Amino acid sequence: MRKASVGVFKLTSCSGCINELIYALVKHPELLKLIEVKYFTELQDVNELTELDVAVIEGSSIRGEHEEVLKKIRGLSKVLISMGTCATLGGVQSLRVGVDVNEVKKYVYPSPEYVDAYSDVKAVSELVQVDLSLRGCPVNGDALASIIKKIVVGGWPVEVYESLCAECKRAGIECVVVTKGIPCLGPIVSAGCGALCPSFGRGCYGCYGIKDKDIDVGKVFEMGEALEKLGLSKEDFHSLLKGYSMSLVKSLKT
Amino acid sequence: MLAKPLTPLPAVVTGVIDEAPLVKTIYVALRDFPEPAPGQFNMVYARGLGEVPISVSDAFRRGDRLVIAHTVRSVGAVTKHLTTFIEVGSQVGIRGPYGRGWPLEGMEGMDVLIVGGGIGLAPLRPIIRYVEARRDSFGRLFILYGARTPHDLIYKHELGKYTEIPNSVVKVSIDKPYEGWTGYVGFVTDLIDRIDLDPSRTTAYVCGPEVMMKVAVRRLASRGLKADKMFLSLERRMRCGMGVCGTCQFGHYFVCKDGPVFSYDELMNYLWVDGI
Amino acid sequence: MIFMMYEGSVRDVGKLLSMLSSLLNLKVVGLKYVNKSFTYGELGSIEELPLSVEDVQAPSSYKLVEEGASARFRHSFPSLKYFLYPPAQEVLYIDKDFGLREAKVDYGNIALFGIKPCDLYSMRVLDGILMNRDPYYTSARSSVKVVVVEECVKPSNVCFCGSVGTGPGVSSGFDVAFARLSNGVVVFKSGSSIGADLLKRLNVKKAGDRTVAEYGEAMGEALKSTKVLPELNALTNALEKSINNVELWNKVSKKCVACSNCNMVCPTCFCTEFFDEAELDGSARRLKKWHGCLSYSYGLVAGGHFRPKLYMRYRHFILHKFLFYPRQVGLIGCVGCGRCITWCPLGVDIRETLWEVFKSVG
Repeated sequence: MRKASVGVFKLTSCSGCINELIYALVKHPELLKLIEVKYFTELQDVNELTELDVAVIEGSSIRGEHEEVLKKIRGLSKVLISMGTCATLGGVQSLRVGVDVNEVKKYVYPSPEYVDAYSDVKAVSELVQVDLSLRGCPVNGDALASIIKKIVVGGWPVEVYESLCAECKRAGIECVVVTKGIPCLGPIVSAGCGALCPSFGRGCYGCYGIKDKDIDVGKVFEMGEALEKLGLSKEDFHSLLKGYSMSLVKSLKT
Repeated sequence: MLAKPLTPLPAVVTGVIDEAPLVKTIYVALRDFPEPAPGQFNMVYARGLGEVPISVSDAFRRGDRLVIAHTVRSVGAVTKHLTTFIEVGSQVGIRGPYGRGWPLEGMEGMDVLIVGGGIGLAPLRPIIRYVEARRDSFGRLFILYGARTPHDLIYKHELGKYTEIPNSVVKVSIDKPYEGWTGYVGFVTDLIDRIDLDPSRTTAYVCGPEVMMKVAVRRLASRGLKADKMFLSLERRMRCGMGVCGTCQFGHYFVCKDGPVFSYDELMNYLWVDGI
Repeated sequence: MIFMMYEGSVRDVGKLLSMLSSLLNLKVVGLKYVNKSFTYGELGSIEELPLSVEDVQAPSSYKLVEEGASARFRHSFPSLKYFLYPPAQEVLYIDKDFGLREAKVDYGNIALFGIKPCDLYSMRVLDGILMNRDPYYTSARSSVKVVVVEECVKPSNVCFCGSVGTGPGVSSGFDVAFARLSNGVVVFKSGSSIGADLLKRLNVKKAGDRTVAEYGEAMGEALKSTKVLPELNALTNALEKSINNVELWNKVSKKCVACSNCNMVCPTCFCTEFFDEAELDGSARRLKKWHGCLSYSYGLVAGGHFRPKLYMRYRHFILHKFLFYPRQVGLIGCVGCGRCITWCPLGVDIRETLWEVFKSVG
């Protein structure tokens, strides 16, 4: 069996998903026997930008250079995967969208003129065709390993679109909204994390992004109203939507 | 109840035919497997990836084994794998046969009208085999078949042979004009108006995309066919094949066990309700 | 003798529980309330039953109050299906040579203890769909040898079992039923010869006229409080007539965000998805998980979608319970427990939906 050539690339992100990927590879070392890592700067010193069976992208695009690199990678890859919420939906850096980027830079960097960034934050799918999107901040390492295995054996994951609540209830976790009145975005957020926050008695803040398949602006509004009654201000709700669902917010159906 | 109702039987792939772009027919050989009736389906399992419901498009004995044909179109995760990676000698899992097939017993003496769209011809092919094997018991055999382009027609190698079946009428259409195509251009359902139909002695068997079947029902009704003489094979999300996973519900029917074949009078209250 | 009525105390309920294990050698299973959380499991003693807490329920709200002896508990989100048809199960292991190993379910011999009439009824509904078809349910269900029901003397704000004929009392399908009256007296009745024998051995006295009268009064009140829906035949007719009223279904599902909590907590929702886990050596595991009809995937097929709009899936949830179950299994599929009302984070209330549909046909 020919080894699958793989490249892992990082745009703007915190490397948390790349860490999850490395943990997954450490936990399933047998995977390394079936893949040939061509490009992965966090893992090896010698890297080569070449034709790939699978390209994995972490992070979102914040400057023209990112867009060019992405297009180049797309051209070289058979399969392109956006890994994590930044790559798939924009990620936390999207909080600055709508604010003058030069203003934002001043708050963070002593010499803002060295930072090349445009005002927008773009998810990978806004720039190139994506074959598989994985959400999560960070992605779920076990799910990642499971998907890599499927692809390596010649398959593809069967996607199921459901809310976090489905996972939460299946896990037998008592609903934090209904029993404690804690604001939780779970009902409109995609499943995938295994209901991590609610299992510790916390509300979901939506790091897997909102369900875009069956949620329109009206439904987001309904949810916002319900959350406001539980004490989550409109501003905070909007921040969570921007921070974790930016590319979906841009395209929400009215 | 089967001893192990959710456990597929391992089956070896004995043949693969390229039918059309993205469409292949996969033959598997099985021992100790019940003979499927025309219109029934199997759950085909790709190890580690999932199961898909696929109509039986042919079945015959070879020695002590039963060979079953499944015509698969590459549309989802599992079918993509089946049409890309599966070759002669590969192993797949098969469970079945499931569901209620086409009513053929008791239809002797009737004219048989087959209306198929695209890959919808697959579950209809066993009817052709059935009638051919009992040619004197049935009246005329009409085969109306259409696809988007000439390339998308399946069973190209035998479409021509259907005309050799005594007392048969075969009409093939494609949706849009195509270079070199001299046959009918238009929807397959148009062909219903172009045959000499005797509604009092005809049973219609229809399979294709749901929109096409709805048009077919209207056309057949306008030609005078009664609702209990039109039969449709429905597609739904199916995970178990025996009415327990619930995902194939259509109104109060479980398409997998109450169907997939229904007479139009059984469907009348639901077929026109969007998303029921 | 079957259908005899007896009276005793809560201590007798405890004795009955221990008799089931000591005398009949059964594993006693019920809704345990331990460390302030609910799970279905083996009951060590009556202490593990929620006998001194009361659930205060309302749309999107569930609170527990400690009320001592006067507390009357109805239910929490886990219904009996959590036990009989678990949320996630491994069903198959396939080794690298395509050798198949089907998962086994062995529950031993079980007594269900303290289940409510609504949950008892849900078992009948699930039987109609799954029994002798789904091997795991069939095996779990067949392990149930004795059923002890607690009748609901004081239904909750969300209960409407009386409207669908599933409670608050029971008349069949159980071995022993008990009801805790407000004066501390516990009424026992037997519904089978096993139950009759158990009560004989329990040594409780025959219920006196006064107790019988009080029981009748309490259950009558309870029934009245749960009759909140339009008359069932008229309601099903209205639903039938409204199938294609898209505007109506959009209206009643306006608040719904398709989170599928209702599906998960509904004691009769049984829909499941299958998943595969591939291993690199060629082996694989096949798993089964609950899947709700409100979720977008429901009706989705490769290359198309049969229920793409949310109202279609919400409508299926409602129609399935009231129109389709009766045609599928001969029973109404909604048991009137109200869990879908309480556990809906957006407060969608099935009672309001049904009234809305009923009123729409005039």
